[in-house]
Amino acid sequence: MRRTVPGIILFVVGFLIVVDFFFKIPVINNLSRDIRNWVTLIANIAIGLGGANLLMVHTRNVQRKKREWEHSVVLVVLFAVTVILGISRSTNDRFYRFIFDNINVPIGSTLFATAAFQMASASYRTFRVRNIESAMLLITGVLVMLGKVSLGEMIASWFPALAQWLLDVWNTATQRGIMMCTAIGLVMASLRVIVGLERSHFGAGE
Amino acid sequence: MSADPAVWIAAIFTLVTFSFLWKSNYVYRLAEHVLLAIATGHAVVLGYENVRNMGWTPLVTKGQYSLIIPLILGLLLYTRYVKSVSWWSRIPTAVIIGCGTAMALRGSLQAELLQQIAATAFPMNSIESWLVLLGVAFTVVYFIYTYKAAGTTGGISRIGRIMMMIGFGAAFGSATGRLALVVGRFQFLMRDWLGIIK
Amino acid sequence: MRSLEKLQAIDRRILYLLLALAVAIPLYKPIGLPFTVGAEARDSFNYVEQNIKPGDLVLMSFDMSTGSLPELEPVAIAVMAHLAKKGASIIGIATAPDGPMLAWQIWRPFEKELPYGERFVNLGFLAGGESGLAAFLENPYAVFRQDIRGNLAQNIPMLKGFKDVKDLKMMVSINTGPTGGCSVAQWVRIGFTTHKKAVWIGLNAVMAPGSMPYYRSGQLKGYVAGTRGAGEYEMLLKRPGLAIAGMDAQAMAHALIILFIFLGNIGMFAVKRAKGQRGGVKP
Repeated sequence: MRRTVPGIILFVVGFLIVVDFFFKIPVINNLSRDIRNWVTLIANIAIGLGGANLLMVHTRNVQRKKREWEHSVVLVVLFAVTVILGISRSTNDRFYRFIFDNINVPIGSTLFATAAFQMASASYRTFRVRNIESAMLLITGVLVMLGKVSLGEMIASWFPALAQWLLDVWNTATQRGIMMCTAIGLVMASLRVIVGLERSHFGAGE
Repeated sequence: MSADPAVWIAAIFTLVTFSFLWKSNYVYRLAEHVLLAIATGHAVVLGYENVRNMGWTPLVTKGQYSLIIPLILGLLLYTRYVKSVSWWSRIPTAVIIGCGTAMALRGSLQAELLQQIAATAFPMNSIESWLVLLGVAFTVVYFIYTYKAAGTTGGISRIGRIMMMIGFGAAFGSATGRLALVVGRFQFLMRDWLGIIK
Repeated sequence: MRSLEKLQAIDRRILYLLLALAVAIPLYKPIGLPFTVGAEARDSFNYVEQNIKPGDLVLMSFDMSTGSLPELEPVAIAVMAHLAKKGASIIGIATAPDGPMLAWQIWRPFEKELPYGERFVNLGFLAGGESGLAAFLENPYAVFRQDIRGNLAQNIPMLKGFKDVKDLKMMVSINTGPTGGCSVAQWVRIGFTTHKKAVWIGLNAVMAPGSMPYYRSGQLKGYVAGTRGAGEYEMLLKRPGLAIAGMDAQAMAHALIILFIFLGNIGMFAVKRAKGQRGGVKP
C-alpha cells in the first residue's frame, strides 16, 4: 500500500496530463489545469523542506560542536533573520533588499567568478593533446575562442565567420543528435515512471 | 573611493570570496555559510508569500475550498520527518512527479524530436545542411547501445565521436564566457568601490 | 629539463594573478578593440524591432541566479531598453528564487521610461518549473493574486487587458539554466510548442551551444548569448553599456587562456622529448 497508493496517484495524474495535451475533453482539460495549479502550490510548500533540512543539519553541527561549528551558528541566525524579516516586512523592505543586494549578490556572483580562474589554471595544467579526439577538441575550441573575441578579427577577418560556421554546423549537428537521443530517453523514462516500472523516486522500500 | 557603506560591505564580501583563490580559509568558508543562509531564507520567504497569496487567502476570503487539497498535500510532504507516517509524503511526491514527467513527455516529443528532425531534414539546399544531416546521423549512431558497434557501424560510430569532439570543442570555446563573470566583478571593484574607472 | 618540469608544475596562483592582470589592465586602460555584430544578435534585434508595437504586452522572466548576474545583467538591460523604446509593457516574473530581486536591479535604470504599474510589473517568483509556467500561462491570476509589492494583480492598470497567454506578444527569458528555474528547453516546450508564441532567450555563453538547435530550427526568435551577445545588441541599439565596457578585458582574458593552452601543451611535448633524448625508458 505504501508504494501502491502513490503509484496509482502518479499514474492517474500523469495519464490525465498527457491526455489533456492530445485531446479536447472538457472534464479532463479542466482537471489537468487544476492539477497544474495545485502542483505550483505544492512546490511552494515544498521549498520549506530545504529550510528545514538546513536547520536540522546545522543545529546538529552546533550541538555536537563539530569542526567550525561557529559557522553553523552564523548560518542559523542569518537564516532566521532573513526569514523573519521577509515574512514580517516583505521582500520589498529596505533592510531585506540591503541584505540581498549587498551580501547575497556579491558572494554569489564572485563564487562563480572563481570558477573562471580555475578554468584558466586548467587550461595550462590539464588541457593536453593526447590523441586525435582531444586534438580536434582543443583546435576547434581555440578557433571558436579566437572568433568570438575582437582579437580574432584583428588577426584575420575570416576568424569570426569560421567560428560561427563551426558553431552553426558542427556544434548544431552534435547538440541536435544528443538532444534527439536525450528526448527519446526522456520519453522512455517518463513512460516508465508513469506506468510504475520506475519507483526509485519514492525512496527505499519497506 | 566610495563612501557608501553598502558598496564597502559588498566589496569586502567580494574580496573575502576571492580569497579562496589564494587558499581555502576560515573567512571564506564563513562567507559560503552566509550565502547559503540568505539564499535558503530568501527561497523560504518567497514560498511562504506564494502559499499565502495563492492558497490560504483565496481559501479563507473567497471560499475556494478546492484549494484545501493542495494545501493538505503540501503539508503531507513534512510527514517524512515522522517515521511512522513518513510514507504519506510519497503522495504529494507522486502528484509532483506525475505532473512533471507528463509535462516533459508531451512537450519533448514535439520540441526535441520531431521539430529537430524536421529542421535537420529540410531544407537540404546547401553543403552545410548536408553536413548537419550527416553529423546528426553519425552522432545518433554513436549513442545506439543496443548492439555492438563493429564493421561499418563501428566506423560510423567512430566518425560520430570525432564529429562530437569538434562540436564539444566549439562548445568549450563558448564556455570561456565564464570570464565575463570575472570582468563583471572587477568592474564593480574598480568602478563602484575604488572609483578608478568610469 | 628541470626548468621545463618546474614550468609545467607552476603554482596555480601565478596563473590566477596573470588572469587578474589581463582583466584589470584593459579595464583601467581601454584598448578599443573593434568587434562586429553577429547574425544571432542581429536576428534577435530585428525580431523585436519589426514585431513589437506600442502597447504590446511582453512577458519577461528573470530566470537568473546571483552567480550569473554579471553575465546576464547586460543582456537583460539591453533587451529591456529595446522593449521600452518600442513602447511595450513588461510583465516580470521569475522561475528562479533570486529572479524577483534581480528584476528590481535591472528595472531601476528604467523607472521613468517604464513606470511601475503602467509599463512594468514584478509579479514575483513562480514555483513548480514547467508545470508552474503552464499553470501561469493558462490562468495567471490563479497563480499570482498579487504582485510583489502586495497590489492586487487584477487591479494593476497595465494588466487590465491581460487574461492569459493569448494576450502576450512575446516571451523573454533571461536564463541561467535548469539549476535556477525553467530551462530553455522548457520555455520552448511550453511557450513555442504548446502555445505557439515567440520565445526570445538571453542566456549564458556556456549554455549557448546546447540551445543552438532550438534557434536554428526556428523555435527561438531571439538568442543572445553572454556578454559578447549583449555587447553586439548594445551596438545595434546604439546604447553602449556594461557589455561593451568589458569587451577589451574579455578579449585579453581569452587571449591569455589560449596562450596557457599553447604553453601547457608545448611544455608537455618538450618534457616528453627531453626525457626521450636522455636515453630513459623507451615510450
